[in-house]
Amino acid sequence: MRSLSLWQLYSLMLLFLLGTSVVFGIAVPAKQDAWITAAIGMVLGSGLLFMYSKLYETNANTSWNGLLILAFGRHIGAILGVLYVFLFMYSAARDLRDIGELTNTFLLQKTPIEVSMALFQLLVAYVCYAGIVRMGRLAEMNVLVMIFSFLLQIVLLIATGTIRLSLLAPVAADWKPIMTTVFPGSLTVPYGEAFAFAAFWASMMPPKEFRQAALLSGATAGLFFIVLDIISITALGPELFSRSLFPLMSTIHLVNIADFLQNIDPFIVTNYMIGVLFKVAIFTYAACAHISDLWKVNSQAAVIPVSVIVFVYAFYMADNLSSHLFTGFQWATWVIFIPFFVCLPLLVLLVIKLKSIRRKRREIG
Amino acid sequence: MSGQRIRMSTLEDQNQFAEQLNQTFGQVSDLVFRSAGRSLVVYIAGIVDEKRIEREIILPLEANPDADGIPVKTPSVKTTDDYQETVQALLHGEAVIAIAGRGNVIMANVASAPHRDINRPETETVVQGPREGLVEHLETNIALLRRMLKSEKLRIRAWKIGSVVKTDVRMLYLDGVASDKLLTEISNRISAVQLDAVIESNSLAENIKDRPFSLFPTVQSTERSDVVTEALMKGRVAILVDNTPFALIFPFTFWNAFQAIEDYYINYSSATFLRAIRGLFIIFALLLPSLYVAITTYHIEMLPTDLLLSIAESRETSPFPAVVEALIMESIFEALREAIVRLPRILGQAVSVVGALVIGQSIVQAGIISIPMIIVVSVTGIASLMIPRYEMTFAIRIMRMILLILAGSLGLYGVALGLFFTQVYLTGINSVGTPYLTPISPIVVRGLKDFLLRAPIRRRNKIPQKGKSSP
Repeated sequence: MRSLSLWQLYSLMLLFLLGTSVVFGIAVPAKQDAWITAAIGMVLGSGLLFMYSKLYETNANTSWNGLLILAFGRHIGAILGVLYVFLFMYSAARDLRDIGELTNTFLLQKTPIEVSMALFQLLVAYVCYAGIVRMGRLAEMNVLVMIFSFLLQIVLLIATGTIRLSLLAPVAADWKPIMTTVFPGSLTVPYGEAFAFAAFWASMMPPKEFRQAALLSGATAGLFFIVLDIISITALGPELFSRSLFPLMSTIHLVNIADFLQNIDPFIVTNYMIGVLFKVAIFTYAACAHISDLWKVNSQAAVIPVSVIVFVYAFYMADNLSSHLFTGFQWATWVIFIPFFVCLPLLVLLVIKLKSIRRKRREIG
Repeated sequence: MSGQRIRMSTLEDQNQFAEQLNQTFGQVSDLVFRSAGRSLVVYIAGIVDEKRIEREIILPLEANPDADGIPVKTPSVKTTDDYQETVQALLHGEAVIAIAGRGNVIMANVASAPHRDINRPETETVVQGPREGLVEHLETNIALLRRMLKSEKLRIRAWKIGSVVKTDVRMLYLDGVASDKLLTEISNRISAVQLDAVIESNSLAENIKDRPFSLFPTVQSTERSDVVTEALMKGRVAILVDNTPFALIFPFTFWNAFQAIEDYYINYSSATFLRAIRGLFIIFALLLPSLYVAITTYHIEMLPTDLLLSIAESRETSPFPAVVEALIMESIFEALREAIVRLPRILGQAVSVVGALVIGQSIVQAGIISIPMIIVVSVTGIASLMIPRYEMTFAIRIMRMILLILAGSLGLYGVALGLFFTQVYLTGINSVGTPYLTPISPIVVRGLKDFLLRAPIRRRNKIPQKGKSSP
């Protein structure tokens, strides 16, 4: 089935990949070499996306739930399918919490976080309710806004004159932080998270074009991360960069054109909302798609309950920003992203390949 | 009633026919019966040309009372034996000629109903370009368009809509240019309309357009004949309704609302410049009050210190929060606007005086509303007058109010959320099969030539010529 154009899926995936990563910065612990980490992450991440598309290619009409059942049989497959509903909801909740914290820090200091998160999730529910075709249309429009805004930010920062390229030195003096940041951090977020598309890829477009869109958007997103990392490092310096909770926001804060255009961060935050919106929406939609696959219900019927769970989850998942980030970088990566978004898909790919090889042998023999 | 046959074999039949007509029309005074020779001529005075009746019908009938065939000189003549058809013909300004000894009656079209002359269009004005507006008379409008579009490909499909009062409806398109899917869809929708009467084109539009309850228009209505011509050449479809000087044009996309016909009448670089200015100010019309409220209430750090101080100083005396100020001023502006439209033209000055002096000046002097707010509302007011399509101004004006309330309660976050909700909503609208946000979403590269940029005329898309369209 084909419901999106290549450009639409590309936009959708690009916005998804940019999502929260531009807010929290990519590969921040690698200090002045973060951009190298981002580059390596881009290459490995594209490899991961390629693996996903290979997985899709094994059964062009089957989304992730169906693949699980093919690989592990009806019972284990369905149990894993249910597990993925919760994984997707958890991931959506993480990103919802991210936007909540961001809003709380930069836009509405006095408004309770649950209010801003509830309104955002309401928007997400509306987007999911609208369905994948309208999501695609929404994405292709907003990707233009996002790209324009990034170019504008870069121009403004250069015009302000805060960029000192010497801060990038020494380049790659110590490979250890670079490699430890690439794996698992930069690989799983955001590239590994893009596995959410697996939940409903059969309703979007055929595998070949899916691969094209995925690889192109992976490369574009990687390019953005490299440029934004370089801009942030050279504007803030490696120390400040690695300590800042929102490195790009701290960088944008430096913009000052003729003492008139300054403190533009509220505008930039509303712009980042685009990426986060698509991230939360894709995860929520993935959960709904799984539910509709498993219980044969309309995915629109699942939107409201899933959204409520996501919101409650986001609200109770952490006490404050620091604990939220700690859980994200340390715990979620190892417990959720690596095993379920990287290892299990790889395993399923191998199992299905082996099964098909065995079947072919049996047919020949 | 329908299907009632007329017999006209004897003189009694003729009298009976006259009696029947008199009863159907209720003895009205403008139903005229005249006898000429052995014939009876019936027409409704006022909507026919009586000189022509005299010359083309009465004189030949009297000169040659026993002629066979069609004994009148009128070019457009039909015969019928259906009584209802006769009644309709009379209503449409035809003369009905009943000759004893014939099986049927003759209907001669001598219609000449009074109507307005062609005038300058008043709602969509241009500095350069054609100045002919459509009028209430359907045939005149079609003649106007025929004259502008001298092509044998101009096709016209006709309907009579209304079960009680029949109104002529015509669908115009260029054969081979408008897509067959579009034509069938619109034809089906028009045929399915169940109405007692069509007073104005809007009552038809509401029954055939997508999302009739939406704030956002999905059909364009225009008074300009050149706009209709241009739309037809782009493969769109125009619907003309009798008694309405506005043509309906399908499909209508969101961005169409921001393109004025004059863009094609001036140099393309100037037109592109105008479009840029228009785009900027339309964004102002939508967002300026809410941005002002959001920034001065929630994000004051965004303002440079000097500007912040001067705004704070002028806001010192105002007792209201910024959002209330904005709502008051916006409502007053909307009221003024509505008053000026409804007003007898002589009183226009009075409203201007009240608006400018009493509200503009006194409200500031009294310290109720701050000066920056007046500036913001004025700029917004000017900006909202720049939208070329009148229907879209309602959408923008109402959205402005909603965003204003969101800005007052949630700052920029609320404004952003409101805009996202609107976007998602807009992605779901279609206008007769065309997604509302084309050519941006879904992206159509061809369409971008005439989007923000107005490409030079010779680079513009050719009129598609795909030969005869398949049935």
